[in-house]
Amino acid sequence: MIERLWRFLHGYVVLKVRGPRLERFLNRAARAGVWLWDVERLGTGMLVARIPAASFRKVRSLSRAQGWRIAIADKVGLPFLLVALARRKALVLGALLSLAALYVASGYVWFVQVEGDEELPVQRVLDVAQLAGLRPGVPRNAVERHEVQRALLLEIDELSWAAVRIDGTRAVIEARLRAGLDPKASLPGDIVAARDGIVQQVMALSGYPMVGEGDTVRRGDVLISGFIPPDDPLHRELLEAGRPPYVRADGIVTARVWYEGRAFVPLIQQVEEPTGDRAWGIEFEWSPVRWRLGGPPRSFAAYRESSRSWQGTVGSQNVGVHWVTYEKVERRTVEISAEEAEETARDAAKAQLEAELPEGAAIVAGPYETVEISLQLGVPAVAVTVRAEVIADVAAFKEIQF
Amino acid sequence: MARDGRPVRARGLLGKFAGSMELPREVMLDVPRVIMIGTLQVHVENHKGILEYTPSRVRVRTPDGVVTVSGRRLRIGRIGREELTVDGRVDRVEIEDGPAPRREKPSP
Repeated sequence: MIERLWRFLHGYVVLKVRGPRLERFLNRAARAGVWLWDVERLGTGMLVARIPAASFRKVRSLSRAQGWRIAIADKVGLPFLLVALARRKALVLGALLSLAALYVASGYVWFVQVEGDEELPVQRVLDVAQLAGLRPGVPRNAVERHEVQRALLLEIDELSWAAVRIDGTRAVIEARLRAGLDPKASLPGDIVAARDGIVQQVMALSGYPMVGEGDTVRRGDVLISGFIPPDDPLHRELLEAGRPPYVRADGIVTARVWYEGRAFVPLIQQVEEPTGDRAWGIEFEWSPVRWRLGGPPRSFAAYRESSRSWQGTVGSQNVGVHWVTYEKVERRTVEISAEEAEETARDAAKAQLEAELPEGAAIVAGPYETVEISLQLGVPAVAVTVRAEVIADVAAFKEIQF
Repeated sequence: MARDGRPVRARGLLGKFAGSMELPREVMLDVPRVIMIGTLQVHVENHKGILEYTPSRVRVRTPDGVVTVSGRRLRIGRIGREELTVDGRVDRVEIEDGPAPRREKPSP
């Protein structure tokens, strides 16, 4: 292997030798200090041999003297390659330039990738990394990996860990989200009342209870305070630790609270009846302008419209085509009986109350109904209100704003 | 007198001396060293030239006689001033003890 490499580096020629007594040619050449290899006899008066390029002159002069005819069949090796390349300057220049370009380009980061949890805010990670100096096109050695890691952890609270590694021209940011608790769940704050009511039970898991059983509270009143009073040893401990004397209040406060559902049903109602007449129009949108072709005829005093649309964006502009159908309607007023209206209103009010009630709340009183007839926008209407008293957890967390 | 001009007695003494001193005898006695690698190669050191070379036979002159390598598709792997290698399928190697001819035979 080494010998082959050596021969290649120094160059060798493949000779065809013709003439009588070729053994003698080999002996003469060997005695003259020439190494010959891969000697093959091709016929009675001909053989092929390989000799170092540097020995060619010596071999030629001794063969001339003895009458052997030699011809070069091939030239192999680096010196011949270099000579051939020297004749093709543009090729060499191109090769050198592309090598240089490759070398220079390999000194830059061309791709930035984010790997890690699926929920990672990838765009934000890339933005922060860019501000910290990691973006496609920066020199590899200009990337301060630890700076980028620090910036990522400082700027993006959700991250628990981040690392930057550079693989060739690719920078990979690996990051992990915090597992478990939302970081906001550790911020200090109070428990306040979510609704008006009469307190029935207070169970403070953390913080100081501010109300007791039987107290009437209004929405927003503090029920369990997150502030630690100065006489509590924790107050001093927190101050000494350089933190404000607040904890995150937590607990359950149940109260008797009222929920209500209310519905109006006018006694005189306007109804729309389609006449069967229709018209069509097409609208072209190039925000904020719309052009319309066709549309409702003047004979349509009242109509309903419905449309099918295709919308998209071109750059920052919204574009769209809307196919609009106009349906002519006739409006007329109908009178409904008070009983019918009351029934409809009651059903609607009950449905509203049920929707309002928290899941699993126990009704302790009611539901009570109030039926009244009043004027709504100048039209007589039946109003039904349904109320129920339930025991529900009214604790709501409110962050302390310092 | 031996072929290399050294008296036989002197060669015997030199041989004993080389043996007792563990010196390479081919150097001390000017004899060929012939190495075979299976039937693939024959390597001859201290040769005095090729007498005959055909694809089936290579005869090499040495101070101790003529080394004849017979076989198939024989070729000279390399040849230098003092050593040569014959490659190919080697069937037989012989050493003819006798006065080596000075001149190479013409090729067949």
